Amino acid sequence: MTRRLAVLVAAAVVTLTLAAGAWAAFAPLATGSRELTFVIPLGTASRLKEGTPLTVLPSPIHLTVGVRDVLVITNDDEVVHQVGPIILGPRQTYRIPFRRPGRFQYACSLHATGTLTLFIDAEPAAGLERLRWRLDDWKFHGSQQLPR
Amino acid sequence: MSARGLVALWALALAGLAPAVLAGAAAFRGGAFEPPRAAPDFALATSAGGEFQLSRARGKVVLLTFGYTNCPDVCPTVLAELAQVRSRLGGDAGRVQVVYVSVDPERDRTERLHAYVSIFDKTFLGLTGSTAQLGPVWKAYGISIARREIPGGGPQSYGVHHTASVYVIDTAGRLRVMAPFGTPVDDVLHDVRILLAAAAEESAIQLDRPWVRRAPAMPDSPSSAAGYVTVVNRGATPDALVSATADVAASVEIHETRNMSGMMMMEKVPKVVVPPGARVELKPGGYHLMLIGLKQALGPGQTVTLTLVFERAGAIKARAEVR
Repeated sequence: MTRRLAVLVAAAVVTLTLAAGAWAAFAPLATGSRELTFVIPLGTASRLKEGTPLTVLPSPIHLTVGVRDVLVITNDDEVVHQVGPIILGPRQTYRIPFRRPGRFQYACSLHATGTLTLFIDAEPAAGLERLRWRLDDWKFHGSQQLPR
Repeated sequence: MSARGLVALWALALAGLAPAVLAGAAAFRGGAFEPPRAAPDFALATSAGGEFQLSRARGKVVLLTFGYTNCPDVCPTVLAELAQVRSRLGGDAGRVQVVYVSVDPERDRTERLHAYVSIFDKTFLGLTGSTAQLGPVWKAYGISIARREIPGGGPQSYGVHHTASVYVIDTAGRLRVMAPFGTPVDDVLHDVRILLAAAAEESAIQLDRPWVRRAPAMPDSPSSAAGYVTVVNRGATPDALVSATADVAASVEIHETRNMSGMMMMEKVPKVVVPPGARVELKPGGYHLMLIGLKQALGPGQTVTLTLVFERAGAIKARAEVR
């Protein structure tokens, strides 16, 4: 009896996992907002002056065409910040949509390496690619690490 | 306030917000700045002779980019694309000015720069100067520059890695879009068209009954004449007359006549503000244009071409009758 129950539970788990996997691999990617937003918080300039290491913007930044393809950088600080050629006054926002895959590189003083790299990835195809995208996306939002 | 009043207020607020949101950054295909701020001003020598000052280009959409004449790949691509933008604008091309600032002052002398930019479009302006003059401009626009020697080459054999973005500055001198290198021509064109259309809509300035007072020729001393016009602002945003020129005068200043306890004083003013919906008269005894250094005597029946430059609407021409 208990063995039969265990088999049933195992079968249910396997079925659910497969269903979830199939959903993740084939369902269209809809993330609500297509914007990936970064905020330069109030006090960034003074913290940089003190020499506090900061990661306001990760590098590289990954965007995905058709899914999350709008980069938004907002300056909440009281002074001008410059992210390469993007000059942001206090409480100013820069919003850039991308419609094609590509790679952009900017010199950026906010980065320890001095460069900000931006990857615009193609929209992941249904199947394994889409599954991998979802896993990475979930990992990013779970741990607040590098976005993808 | 009653609940109904609150609802009405809320609806009004929404109605007021809607156009602002619709006209906002979402409409641009290049990277847009919100809210827009004045583009950093600069003045540099142009390849065509003379000086170019950004803040004096009001009324035109300025496409600003950086590069150097020895650039093998990136700069020619950008300039060829900007030439396409201009040619595809057709009749509106004259409302766009492409400005190319050198990142290699050592090799980019004015003649060389002029020959280079002219290959792409005769109206392009190449700007150069000393490193001391160019440095602050590069910095203000976040242009990073790295010189790389070409191994085995001569002393003048080097490349200059540089930011190749295109900055789009609107007719009111505000930095609206930064399109990174690789932004398709269609997208830049799209954004320029938005700005030109917005400028045309905002240009609610109308000039009524312009006239210039007759002035005799004064041998041995420079003569001047006063010009008058009524400025009507039919738009919803305030504008201001900031400068003017006339075909018959060396320069034009904006003056105001004031009655200081019986003594009439004439004072130069930096601008004349025209609030939305207002009519501001430039008339005898008040604001007027001072045409200084007349090139000829002005007699009744003649006409003078005045160009009035407004902060938002840009340059507007008017044919003024001499009375």
